[in-house]
Amino acid sequence: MRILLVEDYLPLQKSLAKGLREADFAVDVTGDGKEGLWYSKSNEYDVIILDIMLPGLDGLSILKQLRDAGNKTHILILTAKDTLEDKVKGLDFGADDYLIKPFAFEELLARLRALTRRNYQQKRTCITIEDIKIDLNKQQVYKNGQLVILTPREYALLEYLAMRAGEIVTRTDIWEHVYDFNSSATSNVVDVYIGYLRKKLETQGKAALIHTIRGRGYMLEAEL
Amino acid sequence: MIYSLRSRFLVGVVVGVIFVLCIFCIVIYTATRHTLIYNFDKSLLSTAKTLSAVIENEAYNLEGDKQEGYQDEIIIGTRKIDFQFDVRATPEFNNLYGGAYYQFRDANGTTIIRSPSLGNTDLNLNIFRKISDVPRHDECILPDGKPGRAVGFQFIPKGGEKIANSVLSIIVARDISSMTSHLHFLELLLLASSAVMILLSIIVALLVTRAGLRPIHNLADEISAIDMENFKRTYISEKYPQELLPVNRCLNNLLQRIKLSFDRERRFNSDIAHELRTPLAGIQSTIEVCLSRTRQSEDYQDALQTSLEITKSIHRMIDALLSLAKLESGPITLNYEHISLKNTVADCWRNLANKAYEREIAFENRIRDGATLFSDKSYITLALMNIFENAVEYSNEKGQIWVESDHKEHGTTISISNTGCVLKEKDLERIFDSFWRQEQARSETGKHCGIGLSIVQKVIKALGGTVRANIQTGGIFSIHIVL
Repeated sequence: MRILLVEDYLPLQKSLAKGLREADFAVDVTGDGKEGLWYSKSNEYDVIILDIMLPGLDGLSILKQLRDAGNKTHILILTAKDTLEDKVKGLDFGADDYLIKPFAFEELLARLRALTRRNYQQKRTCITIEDIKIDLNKQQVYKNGQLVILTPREYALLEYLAMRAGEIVTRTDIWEHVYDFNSSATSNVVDVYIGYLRKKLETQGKAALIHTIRGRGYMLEAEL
Repeated sequence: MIYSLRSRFLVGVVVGVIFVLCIFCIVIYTATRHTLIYNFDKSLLSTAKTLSAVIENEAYNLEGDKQEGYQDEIIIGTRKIDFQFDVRATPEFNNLYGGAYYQFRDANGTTIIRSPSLGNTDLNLNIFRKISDVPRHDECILPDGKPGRAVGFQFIPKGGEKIANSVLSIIVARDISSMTSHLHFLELLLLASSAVMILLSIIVALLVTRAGLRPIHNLADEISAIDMENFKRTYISEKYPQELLPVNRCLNNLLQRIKLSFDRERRFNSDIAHELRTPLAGIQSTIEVCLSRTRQSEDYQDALQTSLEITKSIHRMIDALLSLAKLESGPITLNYEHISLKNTVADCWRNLANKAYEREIAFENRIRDGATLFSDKSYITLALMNIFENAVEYSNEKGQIWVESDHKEHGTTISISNTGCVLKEKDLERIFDSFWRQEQARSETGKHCGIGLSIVQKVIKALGGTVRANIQTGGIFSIHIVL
């Protein structure tokens, strides 16, 4: 899942970006309001984490401009402004969540997972397809009850496919939601990672889980 | 001492009414008494004149008539005095102690005629010892012991003009009990009516006071209805009487000032909370992310270093806030001394020299040798340090900072200037506000909380000076302190 972090306080920006990447999120980072707006408009994010007091353009203005432009990305406001008026204002401007600094990092992760699930109309925290079970909270994958070790990139790819299970997912979609702005990998890297996933998850002689839809993309489905 | 307007008003009204009633009663009583006595005396004098008119004096004549009952003849030496008065017609003179009395005396003071009501006694009234032909009235005690009034005067009886020593004096007295009882009745009437009037005035005053003070109660209710927590309403309506309008206006002004002060304090607290929450979030996030998995020792070192730097910045901010709080808490104790301006500036700069060196900022102390200032050294140092920190932070890399001073009659001006200013002219209005930072500096959240210049302004004000800032062409920002 791809996240945009707009936070001007450098120590917080650095630690959050590091923590989020370690939690298998693809993260783009900026500390400037105008740059944050440009990122939001130029890329498709699953969640935008937005501070309010920013140089260049404040967070509420970014939020308003995005909503006015019809952008439906889930936005979590992360701010030190803690009054009821601030919260009401933020949510009324179109934010989906509001978290006050200082916060527990685990709480931020939980909220991001919840917003991501909501993004794909997914209420379950465990997705089961055939003999594969994906625990979205623990970020662990089981095959016939046995833990399957996946790399962060493999898990991120599987999670995205699982969120959109039954749908055709294009390579561009995968590129936009699993890789961040600074990723330098080439486009066929997606095919490579799909191959890795198939090897780890599919059983010889059984029906495929990850189907290639020729010329269009991939689909995670028990049977076509 | 707390006093009540209502009781003051009541006491005032009652005392006023009592005073007016007293004057009124005294005037009425005195006028009535005076009138009654005047009429009484007039009647008494009339009687006395009538009696004096019926007496005749003539030379003694043994063959004179004597009519029984109403004509009396008195022979004094060679004189005969006829008193032609029918005493039977006036029972008050005729009956013993009948209430009216008369007495004639000759020039020697010998009683020659007395009314039957006197019996054998005399009207011994001292005031009539020196009697004259001018009637004289006075109070007296009558032979029956009752109070009365008397009139007396000298006269020459008819026919006595040619007779020597014919002058007679007459005293007529009459009982005044009836008049006194009337006056007593009047007294009682006035006292009773006064009491009723006082009672009524108290009731009326109470009602009037209640009605008159109602606007004050309404005003008090309206004031107490104001929510001092959130000041949703800060205006008292103008529906009050004219006398309360100045109070109303003062209250409205006061409420506005209180609201502004509350707003300022709330904003200040909110700013402090914001400035502390962000670095705290930085520490918490750094530590939590670091502890979320097992890492290399360099990662832990890195996290600890970041946390330490954030802690130092919080420390600096708390120190600055404490300085600000101390300056705002009231008058500060100042230790004035002659200080060397050049050395003080050099000492202050030494603390920031390393930081300036890192950014390749040049510094020039242009203050002339021997320049002194009579002020508090510790507070001057505090102000200069804050200005220098600001200058080093916001001047451009490889920029320049310089300090100048100018001594004039009205005081010493110290000017600190730096290059690389990106502020706009309109920003100058707010640069001394607490927590205000230029937009470009916002990315430094947590590093500088924006109260340095606010501290400078308060320090210089406490030292009795003024501080202002200006921007010159070429991006030169200057702060001028006048002491």
